[in-house]
Amino acid sequence: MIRTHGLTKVFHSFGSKDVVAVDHIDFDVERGDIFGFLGPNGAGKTTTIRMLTAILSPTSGTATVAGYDIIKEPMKVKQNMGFMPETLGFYDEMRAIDLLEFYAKFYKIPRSERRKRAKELLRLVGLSKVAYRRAGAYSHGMRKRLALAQAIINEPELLILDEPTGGLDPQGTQNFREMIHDLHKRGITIFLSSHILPEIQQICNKVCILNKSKVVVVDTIDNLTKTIRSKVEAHIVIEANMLNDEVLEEIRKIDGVLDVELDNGKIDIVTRGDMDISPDINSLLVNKGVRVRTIQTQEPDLEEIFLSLTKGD
Amino acid sequence: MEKAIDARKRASKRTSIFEKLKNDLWGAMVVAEREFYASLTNVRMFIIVVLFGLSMLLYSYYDIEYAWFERTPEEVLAHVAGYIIVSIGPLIAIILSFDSVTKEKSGKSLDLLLSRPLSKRAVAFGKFLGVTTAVALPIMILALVDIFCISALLNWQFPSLNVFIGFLAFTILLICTYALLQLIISTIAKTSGTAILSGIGLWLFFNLLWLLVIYITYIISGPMEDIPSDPMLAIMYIIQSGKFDYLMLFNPGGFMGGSFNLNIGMLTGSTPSGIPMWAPMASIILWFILSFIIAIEVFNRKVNA
Ligand SMILES: Nc1ncnc2c1ncn2[C@@H]1O[C@H](COP(=O)(O)OP(=O)(O)OP(=O)(O)O)[C@@H](O)[C@H]1O
Ligand SMILES: [Mg+2]
Repeated sequence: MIRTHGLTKVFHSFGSKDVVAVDHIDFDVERGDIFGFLGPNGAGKTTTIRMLTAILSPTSGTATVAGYDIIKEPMKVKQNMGFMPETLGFYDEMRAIDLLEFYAKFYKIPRSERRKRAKELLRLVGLSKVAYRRAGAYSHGMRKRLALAQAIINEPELLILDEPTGGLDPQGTQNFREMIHDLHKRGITIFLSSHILPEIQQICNKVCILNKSKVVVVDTIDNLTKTIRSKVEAHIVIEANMLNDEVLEEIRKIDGVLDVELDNGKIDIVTRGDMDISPDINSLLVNKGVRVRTIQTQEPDLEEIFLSLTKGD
Repeated sequence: MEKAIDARKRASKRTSIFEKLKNDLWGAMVVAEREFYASLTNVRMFIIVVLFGLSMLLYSYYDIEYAWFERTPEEVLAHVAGYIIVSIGPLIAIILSFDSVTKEKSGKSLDLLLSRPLSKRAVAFGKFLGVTTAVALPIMILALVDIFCISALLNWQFPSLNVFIGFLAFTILLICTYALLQLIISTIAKTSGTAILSGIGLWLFFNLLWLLVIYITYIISGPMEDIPSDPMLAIMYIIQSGKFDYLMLFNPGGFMGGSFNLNIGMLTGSTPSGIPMWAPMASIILWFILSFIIAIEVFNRKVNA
């Protein structure tokens, strides 16, 4: 559905240094994917998306989107995809329903069909009650919904969403996720950007992590979680009576344990992130007659992993 | 055999270019329609139209009532064009269209527009079309009302057909040209503030500072005889002499400036300076075409580059 080839964008601005916003990135999005495009602020997500939507022309490299080359056939690309931008600039003096009809006109949807579809979409995104209100009087959450509605007005097979849940409350975020899942079930391939990892984990099946304008990794969510865990440490913290050095020595010998420390009657066991050894430890402690008061496992925080992947050089 | 394939390939390419043009034209009309309604329902449109209409009617009235000789409708129209349309028309075009692009930039609505299946050139053309029709429509109506009132004041003498057409055509071309120049400014400017200031600067240059341009040219080219000593009278004298009429060819409002406006009734023939009357007409048409091409190309290159 999307395939980029060395896609690059350099911004030249008069009097200051050139900014390489996107640097030779390559990734593939297959039909049926919910593809997450993850990266911290300023990584180049929006710039990439603006190139994929043929709004911005690349400095070098190219991409095929929905089967068409973004440089050679930008009109075909635009006809076959839907796009929800990060910043929602509507003509604020227009009513939501008129805005949708206005955008529909560009796709030569017949007049009678336009109104019908606009109403249908407003119902789909839960804005029926405020359909006749000016877009300028919409709240941020409503604007996001309106932006989703306009993105599917041409019944695209590919939907490109730039930070769809940015600035939404937890309930709104949840609703949005559901809407995205529904659209996916209808057969729409989805490409979405975010800087929040758990969100990508929950919605997407594949992810591309971008940092400082370069691709760090492209993989399925499952694989990524595994590889990351192998590189990261997890902790098991145990509070128990009758702990002694012998027990600690025994724990140290278990495969996967990296370090053990005793601290105020608590043992902090550092383990490999991709192995779950808490059952082994538990049975060992039972055998040794240690009475365990609490046992806590601290999974590697994926947020931390993301940070460690994207921080520094 | 190969030639036949080549020809077919070329034919299919041609239809695809034709398709693209058709598609762009459609998109441009959609953009124009929105732009037209948005401009027409703007409060500043209402205020400006009332002010412009009043000044045109009042000027016509005084021109007729306080004239030393009885005026012909052609003369009155020439004066209305030379003093009111030329000076206030461009200002209206500028004020009504100064933010047509900067507003989209600051409101971030451009990406939503550019993700539709139409080219940037089509967006620019649509904007121009929408804004200028919204500006030209009320001005045309007011001009017709003015012509009607002038005739009524002059015992129902109507202007000759070529003056009538020349007057309307000049007015439309002038307004379109300034709307295009303002579109260029709006595309380049970063904020609406810069856009309106630059637009007014442009207007000042062609309408007030132009006297300075003429005066400097006069000084450089050597003094004339019998020049009045009062500077204001001197400049009037210099202009009316027609000696520097050729300078007016470089001003979008030149057709009505210099000593040309005295010749509106002729529309052919020549001016006191010997410049054939087709030259100022060609000048305004050229101004329009050039600003049209530049506006579209600047938009295509500058926006999102
Ligand atoms: N029009 C532009 N002109 C100059 N530089 C730009 C332009 N647009 C983006 N940049 C620069 O390109 C880099 C990437 O920006 P981009 O908006 O793509 O990041 P992002 O990943 O979308 O960030 P965020 O999460 O904050 O939205 C930044 O350094 C930004 O300053
Ligand atoms: Mg962004």
